[in-house]
Amino acid sequence: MPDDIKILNQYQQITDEICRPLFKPTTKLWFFAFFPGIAGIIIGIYGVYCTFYKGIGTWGLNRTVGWGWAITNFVWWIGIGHAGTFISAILLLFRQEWRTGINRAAETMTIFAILCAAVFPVIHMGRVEFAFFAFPYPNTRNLWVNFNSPLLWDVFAISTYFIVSLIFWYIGMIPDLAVLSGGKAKKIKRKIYSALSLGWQGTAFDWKRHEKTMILLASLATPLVISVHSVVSMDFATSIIPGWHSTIFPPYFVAGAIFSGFAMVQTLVIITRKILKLENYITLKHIDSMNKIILLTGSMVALAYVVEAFYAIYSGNEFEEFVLLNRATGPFALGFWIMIFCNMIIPQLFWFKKIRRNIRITFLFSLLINFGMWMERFTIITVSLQRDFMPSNWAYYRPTFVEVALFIGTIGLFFTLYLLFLRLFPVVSFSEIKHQIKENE
Amino acid sequence: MNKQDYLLVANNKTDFLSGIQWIENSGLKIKNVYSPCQVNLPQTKIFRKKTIIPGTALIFGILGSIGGFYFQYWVNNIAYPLNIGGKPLLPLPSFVPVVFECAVLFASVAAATVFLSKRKSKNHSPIRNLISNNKFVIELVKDENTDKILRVLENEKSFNLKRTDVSE
Repeated sequence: MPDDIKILNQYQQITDEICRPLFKPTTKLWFFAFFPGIAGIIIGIYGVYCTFYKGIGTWGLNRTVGWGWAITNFVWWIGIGHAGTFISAILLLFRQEWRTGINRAAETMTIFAILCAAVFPVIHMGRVEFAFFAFPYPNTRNLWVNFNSPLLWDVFAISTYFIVSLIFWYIGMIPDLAVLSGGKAKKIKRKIYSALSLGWQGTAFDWKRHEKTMILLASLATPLVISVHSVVSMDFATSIIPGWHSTIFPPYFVAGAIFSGFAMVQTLVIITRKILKLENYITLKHIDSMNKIILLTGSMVALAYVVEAFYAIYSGNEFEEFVLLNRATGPFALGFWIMIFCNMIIPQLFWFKKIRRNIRITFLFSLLINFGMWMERFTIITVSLQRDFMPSNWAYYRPTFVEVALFIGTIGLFFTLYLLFLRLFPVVSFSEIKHQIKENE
Repeated sequence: MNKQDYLLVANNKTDFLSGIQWIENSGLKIKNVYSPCQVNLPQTKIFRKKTIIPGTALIFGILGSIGGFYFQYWVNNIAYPLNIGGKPLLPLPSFVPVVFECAVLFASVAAATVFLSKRKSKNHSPIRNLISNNKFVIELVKDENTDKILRVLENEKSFNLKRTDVSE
């Protein structure tokens, strides 16, 4: 158990403190966060309505920029989803005890982030009612999907990732749900918890099977962390577009995904510990450890930026050189330099312990990194497309209100779902916290 | 659980583990133990029960990868062989991502299914209220010696293990 978890070895107290928000009336602070989320969803619904009613002509896409905000947002959300599996699976396999305070929040974030990500490719199809065409199924046309296409690999990778993350999240929560079913909740809630806990008894064999299943799922989910964003990167890397056609993309995208995911976990857990008063469970040590991972992955991302620039210069390919120059000095240069500032410079400040352990600065930096990582995706996707091989095609890309509304909608959806989760389920796994206590007894 | 069985309740893990050890040494039969969190129990016979979850996951993982590969082969070569610019109909590297995802998906879903399907529906078992948050429970099989041995246990001062009734 981490030294700075200032709790006594009282199992009941742990349950009570973590579950307190589930039984108390909703606070003003919670509503203060919830209403903007709902407002975001309403704006997003308007965006979806315009897209469905009039088509993607309502977006700012043009002859060269076929993938604009929608795909940028898709890659950004998928990246955010990565930290959840990283914390749950990889840190579990490495027996990193500090993950316990934050793993549930991170796993929840993964589920909701993938849902938000899925919105974009689906509506991008234009004919959303035919979205199921993306899956291979027997049909009267006798046609099948193209298994040579990274876009199809994406369908498989993201669906698998979502299902495995969901299973992992649910099975991890079963012991806590069993406790809640006998707790202070209202009768109807207790019945729901009881049904969801599937008759968990807490016998020695129950725990053994639970541990085996969790370790097994973690082992299976670990390569998924690597594979999913590698596959997403191949959507770009297997094309011949300058700025996309690069072998560095898979590791570059995976590091970037974990980097942005951890930044989002930071944002969420700092809000969570404040709203739910969980400072004893989500401690400075957690924030410090996450900042160290942000520093590590941020350094990897910075190295990838340098290597990418080096490739462009050293290749002698004038188109690659032009893309690099266009990113740094072209019409979207501001986005490029924001990306450099937020993703290369900001994380390096985490070398200083005082900064790593300062919650306000960490919160601010996590927001900046989220913003910087969005800019990175925009720079890679849209800026690479904007000036193609024929200067006569070049036009400025400007997102319309519909595109912006869709993005705001997913942010609203994400925070609304997360806040509802905080009211319905324990955000910290108290059975795991109790397990750690006994280790030191 | 059987009404004739004894329940011994500990408030912490140390007393719980000491109690288990004492009971096993004294010759009493433990039917089951319950805890609010995972506990590293002694590897005696009763706690060494094997689970089929890893084996099932392995088998379904293999089946998933074979199925994923064969499906792609069938689509590309048998159902609708489509020549795109002379590219091969059996491009093995292109098949790898889908084969991998199918293996992971099948193994995970199989492991979860086995884990969930073995749950017994004892949602309203009274024992559940005992173990819920903070109690560690040892369930003993009652025989003619149990009472005598438990009386000795109750005088034991090195650990705190109380006999209780399930209706508590």
